[in-house]
Amino acid sequence: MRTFCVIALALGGLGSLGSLGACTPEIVPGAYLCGPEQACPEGLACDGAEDVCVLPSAARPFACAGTEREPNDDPASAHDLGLEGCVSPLVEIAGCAVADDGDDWYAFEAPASCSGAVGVRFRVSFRGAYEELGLELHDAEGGVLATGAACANDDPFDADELRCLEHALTPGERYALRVFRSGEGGCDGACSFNRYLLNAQLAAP
Amino acid sequence: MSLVSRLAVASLALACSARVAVAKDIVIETPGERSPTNKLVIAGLTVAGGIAGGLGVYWHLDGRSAADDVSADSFTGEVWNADRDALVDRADRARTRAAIAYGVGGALLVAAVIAVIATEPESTTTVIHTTPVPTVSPIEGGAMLGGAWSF
Repeated sequence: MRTFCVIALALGGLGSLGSLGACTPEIVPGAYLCGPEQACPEGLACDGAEDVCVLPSAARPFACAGTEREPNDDPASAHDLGLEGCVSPLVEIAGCAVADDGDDWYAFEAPASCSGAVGVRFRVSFRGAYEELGLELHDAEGGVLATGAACANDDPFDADELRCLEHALTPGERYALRVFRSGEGGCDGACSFNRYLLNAQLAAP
Repeated sequence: MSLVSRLAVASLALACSARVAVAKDIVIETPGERSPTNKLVIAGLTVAGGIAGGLGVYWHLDGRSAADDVSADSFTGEVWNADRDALVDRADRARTRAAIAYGVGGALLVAAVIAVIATEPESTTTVIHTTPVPTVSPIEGGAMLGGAWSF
């Protein structure tokens, strides 16, 4: 009986130690999106094409295919957004901010013949895994009128970071929007790039 | 003493001895008493083992809870962030602590069982002889027949 007790204790102890394996998180490749500065669970790496944590052997370099028109690296060569009407349709542009092309400029003109005041709304969404992006609204002389601020993402299934900017416009004036790399979250240069989706719309302020 | 008397005494002695011969000795086994120090050591080992085991269970469950919070077997749509890294670290820490606590607790409990076995005190056995030793003492005019018991 006593021998049995000793054996039972020993087996119980070994069983408990064996079940400690349940304390190790089990995360399959592809379960999580890359976090800030390409953060991933141990043993996984950030896939630059899909922004998902995968096995290091399956991780691809950052890739970007935007619909922006290049070159658009300064106000003079800015990509025209084509915003028309007092309340314009929503314009959506996919862009890339990469190491040698960190500034993208977009231009538009405020409508001159609206009965009420007109404003503009911009929203840029980008992945949190790479360098954060910023927004600046410039007037025709190059002065900064407004800067984008972080805004809440209402979509619970969308993990993107958002920056929003709203500003009242002077009728007939020409404006330029700058989307740029902010210098934050760039992995000390190793992930100084990002993809973004820019939404723009003229509407009542 | 006449022959008849001698025969009578001998018969009586034989009869007595035969009668009591069927009676058995009384054997009393008294278990040994553990010393207070011995009891204290065994109780201390058991309690310490129980506490260590309890801590092991606590850390085990804590580690499992943290691991469950980040484990995923399909696409979650969520971003890997510092909070999840912290959960993984917590699970690792808890697992290590639980393993140590289980090891220490198990060792203490095994030591307690071994101590119980190894330090078991000897029991003492007392035998009471219920068989009387017949005694015959010649006295004037005959003999006195008696019996003696020892215990």
